[in-house]
Amino acid sequence: MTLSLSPRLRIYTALAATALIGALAFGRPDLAVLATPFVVFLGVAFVGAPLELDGRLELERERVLEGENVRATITVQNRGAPARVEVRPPELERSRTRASPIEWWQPAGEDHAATFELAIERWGLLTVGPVAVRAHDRLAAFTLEGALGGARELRAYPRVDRLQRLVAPLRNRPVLGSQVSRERGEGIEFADLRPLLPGDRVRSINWRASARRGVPYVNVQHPEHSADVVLFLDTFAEAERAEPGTLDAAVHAAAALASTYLTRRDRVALVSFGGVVSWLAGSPGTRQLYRIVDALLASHVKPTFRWTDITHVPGHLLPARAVVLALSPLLDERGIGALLDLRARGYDLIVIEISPLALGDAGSRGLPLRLWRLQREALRARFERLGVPVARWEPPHTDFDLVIEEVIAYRRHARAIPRV
Amino acid sequence: MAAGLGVAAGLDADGRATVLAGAGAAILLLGLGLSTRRSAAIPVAVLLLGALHLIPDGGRSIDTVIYGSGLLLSAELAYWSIDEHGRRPVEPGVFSPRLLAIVAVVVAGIPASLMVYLAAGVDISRSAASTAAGAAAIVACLTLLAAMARGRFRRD
Repeated sequence: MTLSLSPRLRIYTALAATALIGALAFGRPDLAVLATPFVVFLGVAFVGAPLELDGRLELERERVLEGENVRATITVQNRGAPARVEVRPPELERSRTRASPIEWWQPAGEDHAATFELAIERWGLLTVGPVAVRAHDRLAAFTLEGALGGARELRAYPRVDRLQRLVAPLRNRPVLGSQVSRERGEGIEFADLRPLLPGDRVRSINWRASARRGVPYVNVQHPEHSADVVLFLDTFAEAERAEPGTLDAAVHAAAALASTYLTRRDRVALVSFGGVVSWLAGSPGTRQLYRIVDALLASHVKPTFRWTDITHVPGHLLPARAVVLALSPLLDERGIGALLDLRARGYDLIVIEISPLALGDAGSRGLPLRLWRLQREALRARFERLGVPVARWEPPHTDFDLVIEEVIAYRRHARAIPRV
Repeated sequence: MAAGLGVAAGLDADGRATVLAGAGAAILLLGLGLSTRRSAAIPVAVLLLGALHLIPDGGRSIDTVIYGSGLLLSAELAYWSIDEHGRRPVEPGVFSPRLLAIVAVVVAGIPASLMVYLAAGVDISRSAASTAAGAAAIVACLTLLAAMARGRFRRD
């Protein structure tokens, strides 16, 4: 905390000194009489207990959902002279608060608590505090300013939307799930008829077809399997003019995809691929959703020149049958290179391009922007030639469900070749 | 408050019109300072009002005892007005401690000024020794204030 002297006290000192010297020099005692109240004021201001404050900051809870409000309470303990205390709302990185500063009069030795309602507008591991405090003594002669309460960590979880439809993988894992597999076996969905073979169950005989053909035929179904899904988050770069940026959109999309796939008993893994590579091994269940959301909180763009390629990701994270859903703004060569590498390795890759153009002046006719758009078109074409769908998402103008529909439509008509 | 001081200075003076014009200038300066929130105007206005009281009179007057405290009160209220500008609504009871403290200091300044006034009435012949004693008193007073201020910073 910093203590400062009011500038007016220096002025009063100068005025009083001038008047006293004038009184002496010109033999005018009236000048000394005029100066006396100012000298008394200075004496009173300088005598007395010093200002001393202490405080602690407490949050109503440490975990909130993006868009919710949380109460922060700063308790100020006055260990010095009585003071007029002004407390500003706690600093909250990358979020705004509508709370106003609060002022009160605090007698010596007393505690006073002030509560602020903080609007959490963005997900992430947020640091709340410290709180900026300013205190004046009775005559406002001294001002004590500084930060109180320290910093508290707040985990703001992203909003998790539920998607209407999901992209089916080209191949499923042979574990019971909710997705109708392309393979044939035992299930509910009818697939085909075939002649009875030794070992077939009697109840699978299709009597109508057998009667028509004169030999026993059995029904063959598509089994319900689960899928391996890898959410690939490109965190090399992000475009951000005003919130939300491309990373915010990617995190929301990843949370929505993870939530919806996990309700279908699929196994979902997360790879955050950027300056810092982090991952979460694939697993099914609700607990995995919490793990993924927790891991997403730590997602951030760390600018680096280090070349990171796909070999930095452990092999077991990318099962051969997995569908890799890449959420990328396609801004960094390393991220693009990793995606092309994944496709070259035969993975069932889907690129969801979080368009940075949605954040900028998309209507601009400037030559550099047109060239950049052409480059991006060429990049998309390059992916599509490799059989990789690139669905452009322009948040918040486009709904993410529409992007998924676009991918499904693409895969219906231009099927990628699965890994052999 | 400043207007009252200006009028008081004008009523006592021989050249009433000139003093009232000077007081008007001081009040205008103070008003401009307050409206533009420039505290630099306050000491100038205080100096002008003080000079208007002293220059035309030329002699020792009991009014000066009240006038000095009035000047301090004007200056304090003006500074406070600038301090409060743009502040949000505050909890009740925030303003009264400062107001009471200012009034208390202003009131305490009156007997102190009276003592100085009475001391000034003591007939002491002007000599080098008395001037040196006066200068030493001024230096001691300012040194004491500076030491008290430094003490506050050292404690904090």
